[in-house]
Amino acid sequence: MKQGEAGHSNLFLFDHYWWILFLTIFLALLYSAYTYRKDPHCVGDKVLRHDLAARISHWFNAGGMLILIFSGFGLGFLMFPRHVSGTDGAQLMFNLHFIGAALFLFGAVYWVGNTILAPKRFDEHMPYLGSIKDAVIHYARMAGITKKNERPPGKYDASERLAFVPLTLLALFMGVTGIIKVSAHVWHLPKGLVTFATWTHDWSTIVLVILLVFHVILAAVVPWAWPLLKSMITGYVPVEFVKHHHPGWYKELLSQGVCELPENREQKKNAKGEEDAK
Amino acid sequence: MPNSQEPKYGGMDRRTFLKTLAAAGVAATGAGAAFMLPGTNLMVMPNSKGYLVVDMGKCMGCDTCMMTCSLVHHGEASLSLSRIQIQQDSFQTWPNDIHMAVCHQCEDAPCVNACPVEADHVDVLFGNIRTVDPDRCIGCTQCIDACPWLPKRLQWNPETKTVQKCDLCANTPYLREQGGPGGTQSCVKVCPVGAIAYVEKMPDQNDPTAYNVNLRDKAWKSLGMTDEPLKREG
Amino acid sequence: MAEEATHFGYMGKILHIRLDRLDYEVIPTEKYKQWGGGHGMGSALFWDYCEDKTIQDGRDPKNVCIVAASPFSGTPTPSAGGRCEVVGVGVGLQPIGWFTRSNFGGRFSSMMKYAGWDAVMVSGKAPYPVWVDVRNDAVKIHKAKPLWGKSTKEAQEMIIGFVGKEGNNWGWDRMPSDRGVEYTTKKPAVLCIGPAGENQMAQAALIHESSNGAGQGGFGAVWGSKNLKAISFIGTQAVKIADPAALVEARFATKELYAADPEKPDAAFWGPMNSPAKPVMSIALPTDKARVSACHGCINGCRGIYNLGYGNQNHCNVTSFYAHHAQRWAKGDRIEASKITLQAGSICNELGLNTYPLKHGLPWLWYLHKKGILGKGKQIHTDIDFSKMGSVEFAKAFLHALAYGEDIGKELAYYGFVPTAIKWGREEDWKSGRLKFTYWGMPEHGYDPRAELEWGYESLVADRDMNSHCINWIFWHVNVATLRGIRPRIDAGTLAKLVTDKMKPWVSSDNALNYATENMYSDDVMDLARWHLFYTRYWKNSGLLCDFRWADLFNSKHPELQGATASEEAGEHIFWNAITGENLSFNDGIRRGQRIYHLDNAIWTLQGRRRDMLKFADYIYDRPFDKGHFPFYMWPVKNEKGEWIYRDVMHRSHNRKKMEEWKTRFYTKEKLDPKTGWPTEETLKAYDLGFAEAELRAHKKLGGVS
Repeated sequence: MKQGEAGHSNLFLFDHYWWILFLTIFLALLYSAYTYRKDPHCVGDKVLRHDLAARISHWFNAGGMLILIFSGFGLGFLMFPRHVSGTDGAQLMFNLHFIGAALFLFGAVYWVGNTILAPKRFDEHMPYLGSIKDAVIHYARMAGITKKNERPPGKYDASERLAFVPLTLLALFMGVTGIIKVSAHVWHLPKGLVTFATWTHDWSTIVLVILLVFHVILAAVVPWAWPLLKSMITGYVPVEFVKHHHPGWYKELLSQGVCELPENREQKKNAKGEEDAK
Repeated sequence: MPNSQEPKYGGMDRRTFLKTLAAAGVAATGAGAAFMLPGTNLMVMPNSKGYLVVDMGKCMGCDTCMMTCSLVHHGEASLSLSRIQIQQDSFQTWPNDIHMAVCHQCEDAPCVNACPVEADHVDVLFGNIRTVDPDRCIGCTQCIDACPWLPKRLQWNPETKTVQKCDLCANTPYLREQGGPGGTQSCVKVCPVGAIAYVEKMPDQNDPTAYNVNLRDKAWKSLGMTDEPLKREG
Repeated sequence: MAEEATHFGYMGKILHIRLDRLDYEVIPTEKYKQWGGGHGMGSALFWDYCEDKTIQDGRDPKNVCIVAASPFSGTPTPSAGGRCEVVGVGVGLQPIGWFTRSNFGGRFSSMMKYAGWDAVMVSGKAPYPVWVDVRNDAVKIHKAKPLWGKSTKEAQEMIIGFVGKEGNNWGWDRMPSDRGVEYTTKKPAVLCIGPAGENQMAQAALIHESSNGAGQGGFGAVWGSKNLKAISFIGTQAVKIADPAALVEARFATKELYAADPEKPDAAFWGPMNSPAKPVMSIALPTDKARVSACHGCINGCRGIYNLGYGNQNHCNVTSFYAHHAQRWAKGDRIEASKITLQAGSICNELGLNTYPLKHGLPWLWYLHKKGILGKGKQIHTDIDFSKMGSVEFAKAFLHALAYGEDIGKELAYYGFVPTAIKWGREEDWKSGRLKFTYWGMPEHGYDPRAELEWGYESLVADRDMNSHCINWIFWHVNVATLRGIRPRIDAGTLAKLVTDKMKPWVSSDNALNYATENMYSDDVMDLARWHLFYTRYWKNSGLLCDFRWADLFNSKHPELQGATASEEAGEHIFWNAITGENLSFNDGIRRGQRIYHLDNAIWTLQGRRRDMLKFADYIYDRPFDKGHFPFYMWPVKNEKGEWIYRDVMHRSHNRKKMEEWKTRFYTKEKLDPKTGWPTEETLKAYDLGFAEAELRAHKKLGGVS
């Protein structure tokens, strides 16, 4: 490069295609408006735990977050060093961050839209009075420290419901502050807002990463969570698993009539068989 | 199986509300994107009220300007954090053994134009210096790429993970005097031989040698060294 | 990773290269901060890491060599940022290769700090030639086969090309670091040896860049004996400063109050700080197509970079050792003589040779040649054509012989001039002063001990030519004025007061500067020498203030002629405290210097030092001083009426008996054993050197013990 020649500009998705992220938000809302969810019910010896909508929002969130975390740490922030060099390296990470942001926003906003339409799904995620005690008993029992019983867990047990609060709040902080930071590419924002958004974005990342590590361990790595991981892919979890680990939910499903006791099912099956034979 | 109970909200059920909101949002985004395409936002930058010029035939290569620059800005002595860079090769012949790299406070600063978030901006409160606000900087380093001069006149700060550049000492917490245009420039003040000067007239933006001027005078000549002008790019 | 927050001025780590193991260890600096830096730190490290301090030749693999920076390194402390100290057992000093020191400028010490290190120490011997590559915290020991045999210029250029490979389109190089990505526009700073060092010549130097050399002490041979070709540092870190605003203010104040104004250079300046920035050349500047070149952080540079393709950064003796001969050869053409001198200096630098012994060695060889004793087929045979002495051709041939140990270079450069003179049957030349090698087998500096008393005394009680010009500037100012026939700018009485006031409470009156013959051996003059010895040991050799600008004892720019030394705006301690956050007084520093001197003396004692070794060459006692730089040697004296005047102090000699008495009083004053000069229990207690007692006792070298 000669003296006096300006450097070339790279493709910077956040700058040139910022509108895609806003579009993503509204498209996700639109999609949620046309989504008709399936409530949990039994199919044979399996229970539908996560319908397609749930899986879509979860994996868009998960995939998006992984890319966001990878690229965010690659860029460096707070006490974490930058790992890429030059503008090329920075641009690659920023563009990956953009892609991760689009995926995450889609998943998160789709979830928000669906939740607006079905507030009871929100309720079953939220902790109840006594969640902390139940969570402690749950793990103490697993560790063999106590023989006490927790309240029968619903679709989500006490610790999952407790985790829901910070995870959701942090995802909200990340999304909102991220949108503010993107907005700085388009409009003039007050400096205080930008500083606040960056500070919150950075520190929320650290807390979120710590919680995500726990989430991944408890929801995918430990052997007793493998059926749950599978259910986030296929949608279904074995009835036996539900009976054993989420008896409160099983009771609900039975009372709603979307599941039958095995013996009743057996009876019906035999009756049908006889009818068919006739 | 569809959910059978969907609450209603003020005459419009939620689903319809969401559809309407989303559709409106899509339309607004499309319109906004079209309106804010690059090239639609033209800004004329006011000229900086001050510039640093150098004499590459005079510099001693002592790096005092560099250490002082990083001291007054950051409180520590670092060559990598200096906003003026002196490069030297003691095996080379005069005058090509030294290159002095100062920010030109360009008239139509490519680094300001390149910044996507107004971090690198024209600070009208401080003599229109082209400077980087570290609170806004996202570290994309496009400004560094955009700089037409080598070595690039902006620096990557690994501690803050933002970019920085010469601000004519406007923001110098460790300088007891007032900096910025109209005030003190530390490198100018500290240079033992006066190889850096502060001027108010903008050097010719079309001449790559315009920022290298002759600061050597008869006194310099009396010490045995030539006072003839040099043409050096940068 | 160093705990950066607690280190102001220091980087917190010392690099120890174990050459025999081809590995390294990191030593925390904390324990060594009490010694300041530079020499003090080096002596303390040597004490801890040299297992056998009785060695007498620096080529011994048990030798440990330390290259040390200080808190001033890498900061804009005026004329300090780039100086660097080298210590270890030397090669070539007589009768014993003392634990000695050298010092060089440039930017090696500052770059070492920016890489995160306060000092580098090498021990053992590598199994094959190596060089050390340090980039921030990343340390690698490479095979030096491609570099071995190369000149210092070629080797440095090869290393710089190798290290600078990770560039990008920014024009900045990327460096590894704990903080992810960091960048620099700078080249690595390299210290290396040339063929002279590879051949382990006593006259071998360590060279940095074009002409920064650690010449004295034969450290080039030390490195050569260790198979160490070079050490390279490049860094992107910062020196943390306790009070950055105060440091900046002090630097501004120095420029305003004490330093020469480049727009109004004062041709009749007095005081080193007030010296204009220009290349210091012994003859004329060979061309005006030049700039003054300075070490890192200097306030007034003293070297030059030229458009000639040679001579860059050559300074002082490097430009003067050959000057007289070049002038003779060039038949009075000063420009031609200057060019020849610069080329000769550059050849020395590239070969890695110390020019110092040639200052008085070459005139002696010329004398032998003129007398028909040295030459082809003569009593002392040489194939080198001495009739061409003064030409570039001769310089190339002779210096090559010195570096490669060929012809007469084999003895001269490997053993030194004095042992060679004795071997050649020319001992009388040395005793008579024909060969002016005045102390420790090394030449005097041009400041004869018979006239400039402190120079002789300090050189005698230490390990080498002391090379500290603080008081010597008086000689230059007064005698140049006398030569020009103009009145000295500062009268003798005022000067004596200005200088000695800075030395209180170490000196009790201005009589300390009175070099009149009747006052030569007084306690007052001894106290001045003691003050200067300790000032130099700490503020200059350990703090690393440059000899060419410090101490600034008087200064014609200041309205009251006061010098920057010990001043409240720009004194040594002001910079020290602003950087380190310590609360050191100026005199605290001198006391530290005294402690360091006594640690050095403990090492010399273990090496075999005895009182009777402290003596000048015979001619200093037997003949009057009658030939120097000028036909006179004017100095402040008090006349018979007690009035201060400048008087010629040539034409006198030292007295052996009085010198012995002087030594006894010096030892007594320093609490050393007067019989031997060794440290006693009292010495060790007085200077907090109790850790040295065990080893001194074990070797039966504790003074005062019958």
